[in-house]
Amino acid sequence: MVTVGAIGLLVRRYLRKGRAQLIVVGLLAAFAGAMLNLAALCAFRYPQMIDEQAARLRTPELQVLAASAVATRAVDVLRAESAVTTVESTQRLGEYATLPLGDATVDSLVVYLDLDNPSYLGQTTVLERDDAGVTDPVYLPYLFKSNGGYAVGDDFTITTPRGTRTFHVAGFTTNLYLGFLTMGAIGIGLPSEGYAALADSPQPPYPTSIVQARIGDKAAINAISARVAEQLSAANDTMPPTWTWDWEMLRTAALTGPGIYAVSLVGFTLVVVLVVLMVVWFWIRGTIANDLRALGVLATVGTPARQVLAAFALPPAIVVAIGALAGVAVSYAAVPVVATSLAGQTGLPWSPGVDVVSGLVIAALLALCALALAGLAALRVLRLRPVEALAGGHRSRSFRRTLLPLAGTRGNLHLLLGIKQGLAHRAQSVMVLGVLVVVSFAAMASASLFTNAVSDRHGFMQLLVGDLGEVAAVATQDADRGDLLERIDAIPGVQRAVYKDYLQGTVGGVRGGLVIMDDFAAQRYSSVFEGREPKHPNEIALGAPLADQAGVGLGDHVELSVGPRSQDYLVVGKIATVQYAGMRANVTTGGYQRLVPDHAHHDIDIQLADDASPAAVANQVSTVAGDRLFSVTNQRQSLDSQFAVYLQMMRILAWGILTVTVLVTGLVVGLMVSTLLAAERSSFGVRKALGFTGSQLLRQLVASYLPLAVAGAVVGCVIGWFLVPRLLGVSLTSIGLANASFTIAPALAVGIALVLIAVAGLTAALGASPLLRREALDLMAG
Amino acid sequence: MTSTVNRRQPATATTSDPVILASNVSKTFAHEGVQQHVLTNLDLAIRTGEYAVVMGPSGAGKSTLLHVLSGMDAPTLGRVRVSDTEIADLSPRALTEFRRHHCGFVFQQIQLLDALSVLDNVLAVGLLADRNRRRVVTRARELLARVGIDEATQRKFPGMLSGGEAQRVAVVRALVNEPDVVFADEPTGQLNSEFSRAVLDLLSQVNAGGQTVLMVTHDVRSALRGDRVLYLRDGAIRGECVLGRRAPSGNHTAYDLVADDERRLTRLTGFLDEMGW
Repeated sequence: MVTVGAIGLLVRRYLRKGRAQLIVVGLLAAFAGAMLNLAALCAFRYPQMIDEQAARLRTPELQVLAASAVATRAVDVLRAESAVTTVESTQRLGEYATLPLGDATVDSLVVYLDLDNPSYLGQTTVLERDDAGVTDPVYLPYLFKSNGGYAVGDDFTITTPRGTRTFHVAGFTTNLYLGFLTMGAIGIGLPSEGYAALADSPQPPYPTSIVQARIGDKAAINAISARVAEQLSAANDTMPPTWTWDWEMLRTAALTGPGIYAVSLVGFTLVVVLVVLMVVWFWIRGTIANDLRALGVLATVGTPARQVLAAFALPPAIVVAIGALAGVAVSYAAVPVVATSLAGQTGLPWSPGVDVVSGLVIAALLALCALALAGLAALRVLRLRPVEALAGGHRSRSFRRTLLPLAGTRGNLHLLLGIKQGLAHRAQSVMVLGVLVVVSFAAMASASLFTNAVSDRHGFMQLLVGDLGEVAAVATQDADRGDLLERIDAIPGVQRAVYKDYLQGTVGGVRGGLVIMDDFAAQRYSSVFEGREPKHPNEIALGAPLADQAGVGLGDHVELSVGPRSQDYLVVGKIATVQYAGMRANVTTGGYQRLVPDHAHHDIDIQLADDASPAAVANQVSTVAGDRLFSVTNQRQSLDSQFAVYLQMMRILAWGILTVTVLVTGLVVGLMVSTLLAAERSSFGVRKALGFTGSQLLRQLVASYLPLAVAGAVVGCVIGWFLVPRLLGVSLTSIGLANASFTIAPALAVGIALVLIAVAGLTAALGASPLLRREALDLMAG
Repeated sequence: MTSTVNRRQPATATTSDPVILASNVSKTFAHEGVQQHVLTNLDLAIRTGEYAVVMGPSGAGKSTLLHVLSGMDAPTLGRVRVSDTEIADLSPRALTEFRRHHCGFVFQQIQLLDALSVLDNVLAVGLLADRNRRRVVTRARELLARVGIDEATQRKFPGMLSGGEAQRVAVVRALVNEPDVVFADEPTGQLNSEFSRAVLDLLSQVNAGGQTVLMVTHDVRSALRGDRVLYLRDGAIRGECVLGRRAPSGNHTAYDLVADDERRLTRLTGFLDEMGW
């Protein structure tokens, strides 16, 4: 019992003397717990919510949107497949249109849904409905509320090449395939009367079929989807172009946002956990060094070393567990921000309830890490001999060599004294150095994300989608292709208009997107990073992931299939692009006509001069050739809208990480300064008694850490400057961007280093400010 | 050997000008609503070049008196003048700078700075007042040599010194700026007799060089070094014993010195008996 009492006293003393460490470890653990909980919610609960929604809405494994005239091809293919259990074809209305989305617009295929006559598969749920007194009611996907800020009663005008349609918002809906911003088609709900009125209007939308299928064998989805897509692609002479989605594709796209959040949060949690562990390590090592005599007494009276070890290791683990649990609890306050950001893309409202088990697991995980490291740091007590401990061990300050002797070193006296003080507390100094290296590296990663993606979004989008023109159009079936191109080329601001068709095929047994052009040299920007673009009918260039999956490289031959026909092609280049997630191939028009001899172009890529307005040109295109075009898309605006969600996500992450970086720097430097002040309070009192003023002591204390903070920030920024762009490049290679190159402006790296140094300096000065107020005797008394 | 300690005119007697003048000084501490009057209406004058000793029972207020007279603490009431400066009128910063140039301290607990070597402990204080590095280094080395701290020891850190070595370094640190007054708070309290003598000898030499010494001690033998012994009890000076100038050892035989000390001891013990010591 006596031993337990002594251990209890030791723990109390250790916690009382380490209050600053306690607070910092608790706060950092709270940060880590909060970020890890948000990451866990994004990584596990969001997919669970999507799967539950899919089951509730009877979401099919495959959905096809096609002109009703060709939709039967899809139905025929699906009915012939043994793995398909249910096929449903629903007649709807569809057209390409420009939709207002908050302050922006989005160009998309719009499918009008008759909400009073719902389909069996792929159902639409009305989340909010208040159509009392609303004329021309329309029900918008939920993303228009979360991303566009619409409310019931607002006007909603849809613009098509042939005119505008004005509705009033009566509610919001959920539909997995047709409520998703970046999938290319958006379902707009109408009541039966409104739907009938639209069908009877002077310029009605096109009859469009939604073909949906349940597929029992999930492994067959990809192959069946490929066969359907090829059948429809082969029938490209009919308008409008078709869309084929499968559930895996949709699910993957829907989980991209949560995935980005989860990965980034976990990454930064690792940084924070690293800092927590460093603080715990130096806290325990410092406590043991300062309490060696007490430990010697405990050892002398026969206290088991394991009990002492536990006394050192358990408190940090408990503090981390409590901090992490608090962080987990607080993180639920940030969930609405994340949920709104994700709903802006997927159109799915999300309010995960409190997950107690997950919170406990996170706290336990972090506490275990702290326990393991604290135990490791406290291992010294197992090896401690009582005689050595009673003698106070070997004091670290009893080094024999005088570094920077005042007799022979030039320089400011207070700077020198500060540096010497830092050298005397080497463990803490190393910790400041290490923490600054880690956080400045994290800050560089965050700043790189911000500057390369958020602030230069057009540059980033060009990197991702590469060779897309600012405006795109789709020609009607009977339009004179040559005349149409000439009319568009003549529009002021148009630099060049070229035919560039987007179709689908199978390359080496792997389904992918096909881009068909007469001459790929007509592009402003080539996505080929190895080899060259195809020039001859027997040549093909492949996206890197597609080439990998097909198992072919430059110089190899690969079979390209469209519908029932196949031909052999020579791989002449590799493409870096995120289109089709890199599963894309470039083939010349001549090459494609080897498979579909009567192929005629329909997609027009319109490249603009730098100073031209895409919106104005898109209007001009509609004016001069609207009657020959199925759709005109302001591609720039459309991409802006689609990327806005991701960019917003990156903005939140970048600022969040920068904020936490600054906080961690402040906390750790503040901790170090307050620890040093507590340990050396008497020494500072003596200095003040001997004639050092408060400001001189403050400068000494700041100088004891600032050189290390400067060194840490510089080293972290330099490492970040070299490594972060390369790491980002490598990470984008996995999604097909093999030639992505990022840079960080040297001025930005210098700026980050300066900010962190300033934060460290200010925190150190603030932490040392008691030296200004407290008198010598006060300090000497402790 | 030229000694910087002896730069002043050697003082065989004190002058009449007080270097420290305390008038009606009171110091009260309050703790949890309870007031403790440590010094009460105290008047005191220490003359330039004097070696004054303060004695008294534990808790009499000796250390507090030293702190108030040196400007390390402010009196609750009263005035303190040191080297013609009313220290109560100085801002905290000015007071610190005043201490730097006019006061030297020898602490009971020695209080060397652990992070600095012996020489750096002295130089840190010396360079604070005098930016001529060469001059300060020369003076510091000379003073250290005078108290028997050799060059090898000068490179050591405080944790590696014996108690006597450490206190001698602390005295040198107090002297390096050539202060008007050296305040010594029980400088021999933790030392054996041999090291005590070395420290007291150094303070005597300093005083002989013209600097005023005000020392607090419990030790009668140490008090014999002073010209005058003040007895403090219950926060007030209850009496004083003028011992006169102790014979400098260099001008007398050892026999004379012993005889002188014995006379002084008799007088002091009589005084202390009278005070109820």
